[in-house]
Amino acid sequence: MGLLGSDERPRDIILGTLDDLINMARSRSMWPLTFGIACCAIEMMATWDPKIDADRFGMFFRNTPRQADVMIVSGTVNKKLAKRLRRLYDQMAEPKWVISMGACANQGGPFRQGYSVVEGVDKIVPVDVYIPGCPPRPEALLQALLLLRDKIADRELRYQKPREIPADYDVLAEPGKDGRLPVL
Amino acid sequence: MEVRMKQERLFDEDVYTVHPEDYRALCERLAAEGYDFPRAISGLDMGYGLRVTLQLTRMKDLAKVTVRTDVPYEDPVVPSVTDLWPGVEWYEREAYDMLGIRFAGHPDLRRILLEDEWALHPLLKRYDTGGYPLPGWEPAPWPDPEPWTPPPPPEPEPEAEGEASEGGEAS
Amino acid sequence: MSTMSLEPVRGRTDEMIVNMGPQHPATHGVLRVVLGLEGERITRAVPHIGYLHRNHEKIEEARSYPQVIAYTDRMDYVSGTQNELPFVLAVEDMLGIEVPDRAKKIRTMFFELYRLASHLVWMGTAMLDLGAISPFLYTFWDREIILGIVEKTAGARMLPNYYTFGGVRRDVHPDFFKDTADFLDHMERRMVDYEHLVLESPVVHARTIGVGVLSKERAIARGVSGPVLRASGVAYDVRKAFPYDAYPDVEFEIPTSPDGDTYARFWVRFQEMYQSIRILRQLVELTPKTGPHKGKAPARIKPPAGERYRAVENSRGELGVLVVSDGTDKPYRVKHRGAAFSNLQIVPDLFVGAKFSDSIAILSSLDPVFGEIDR
Repeated sequence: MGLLGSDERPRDIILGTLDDLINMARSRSMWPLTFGIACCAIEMMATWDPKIDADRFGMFFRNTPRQADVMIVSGTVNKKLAKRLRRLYDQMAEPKWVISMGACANQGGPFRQGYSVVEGVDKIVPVDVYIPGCPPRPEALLQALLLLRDKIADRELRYQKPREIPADYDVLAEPGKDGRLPVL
Repeated sequence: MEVRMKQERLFDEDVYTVHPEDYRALCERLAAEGYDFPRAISGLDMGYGLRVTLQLTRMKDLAKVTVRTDVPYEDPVVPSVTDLWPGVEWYEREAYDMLGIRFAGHPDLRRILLEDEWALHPLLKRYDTGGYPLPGWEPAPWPDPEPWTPPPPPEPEPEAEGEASEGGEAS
Repeated sequence: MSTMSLEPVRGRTDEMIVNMGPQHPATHGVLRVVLGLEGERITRAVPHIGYLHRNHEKIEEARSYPQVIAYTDRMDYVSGTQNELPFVLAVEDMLGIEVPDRAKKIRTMFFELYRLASHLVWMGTAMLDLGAISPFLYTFWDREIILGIVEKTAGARMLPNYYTFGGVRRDVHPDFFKDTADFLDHMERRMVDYEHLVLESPVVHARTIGVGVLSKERAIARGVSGPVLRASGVAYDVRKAFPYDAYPDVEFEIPTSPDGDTYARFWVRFQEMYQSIRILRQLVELTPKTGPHKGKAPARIKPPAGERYRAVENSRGELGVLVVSDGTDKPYRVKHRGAAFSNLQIVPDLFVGAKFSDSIAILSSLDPVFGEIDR
């Protein structure tokens, strides 16, 4: 009989798939990008303060997109910023995730229908978790991070084509003008 | 030099409504009078033209003054006062960005909040909140008499002043 | 400061162009500064703003007066209710609304609580910029206490939309005065720690003393206000110069420093926190525990045609608003005079000639908040 069928296998061996192992490592060390935009950024900082303390889940801010896994879009994204935001997203290494924090990032919030505001960051980058609120409480951001952790843990590891999500550049154009490719 | 203007008292501020050609001369006079703290320059779309509102404080005795001048939509040029108060540099750029008021003599008149290649001046009343032209928007006729009609220098006639202030508030 | 393109100057091979921001951890938001560097020295500095421009002034023209208050909240988002006050005061002036004495005092208490909260955020982030992590942990803890006090009464932490025409939206929570008094006791003990951590730290001394000196004349001409102006030796404070709400009833001083350097700006903010505690102590005693919290205001806010400029001293300086009314229930034009907007103009003045690493310390001493700058 092989080892698998035997009840007498050594107790220091854990069997599982490689997926589980790597996903466990990934979901336990999500490093967000330090990219505060607006009001929600202050609540994002408050999520890492000693009261909520997201550090205990292995989440540390990285200042460069090359080392970050998670982008927390914490505030209103306007047309001028959206091009830079997409560029930062493109600079992040796969696999990468996006949390849309607050009403503004979800759909424009109170500034919806303004001439300079992108009505939802999901037109620019793919979003994994949306948080409602204006601004959301730090607990809400923590819950979103934990939701994202569960999502990562369920991910299949086998090779997937990198997601090709083109940004909807029409939303970045000046009102009344045609969409153009952004100048990056 | 005679400055074509109208003076009134609004709450705790002296308000001067001045002809755009004399705006610079009045500002130089105010700078010489010791108004040293520039609070803000605001651009307004009055419906018949564009208005520049310059607000100043004198740090010595905390006197406040507001200078207004109206320019037509077709040629909204106002002399810059950046050399008198460097603190209005960004406010003039903002008024240019938002309303298209051009400040002659500004050292660096670029867009400040919107992107450089945009042509939109969003705070104009002819655009809606989304920046699209409002259907059926027409500029109002220039108020008559013009707000900068020079009052007789020694004794401003009360009726002329009343009419002028009415025109100034028209929208 | 004239037109400075990003192209290197012809024949200058020793100058390097460095782009800082808009995603830079030390820009306190989305500021972008293009720096020309000669070795460690900054030769040119061009700030670019507008990355958080969210059409405040346009969208406020399409909202009714009470709705605008909620938008003003989102300008200087670190200091919550402070932004609502100039707009509320301006509309009250135009309508001639009387504010009860107790409402004025409650407003002032919230105003000063948010000043403490804002300066605490400043202290934490400024020290993060200088490389110290632990002050951030302490200051955010204390800030959470303030936000808890605010939340009990107003229902929201950061952007409570609490002031209204004629007073405040609802009466304070029964625990409000006790909570505030307890917090002040706690804060006075904490200030001793903060002095040790920040003002007496030799690292802070080395990074800030003599760095980024702003002269008195330059500060006034540039329209700088708030702690930055007072650190250059000008005792201009809207709370004393044009008193509003309950400030005539309380005693406080305007701390000024003649030095004008980055350390002076740090020091002035610290002294302001002591003054805030002092004001709050007096107001806890002075404010009647019961009474009206809101004066008589018309149900439909329709100011007569005209305009009014009102200013308050928020955590960053003179925050003003010019409200133009055409007699309808929507403002014709709302123009905000951002304190941080004016303060940020001196970035080229202070950066040029400084070392690259000093630029971070200088920027953190200006305490920009981009909701208010870009509006």
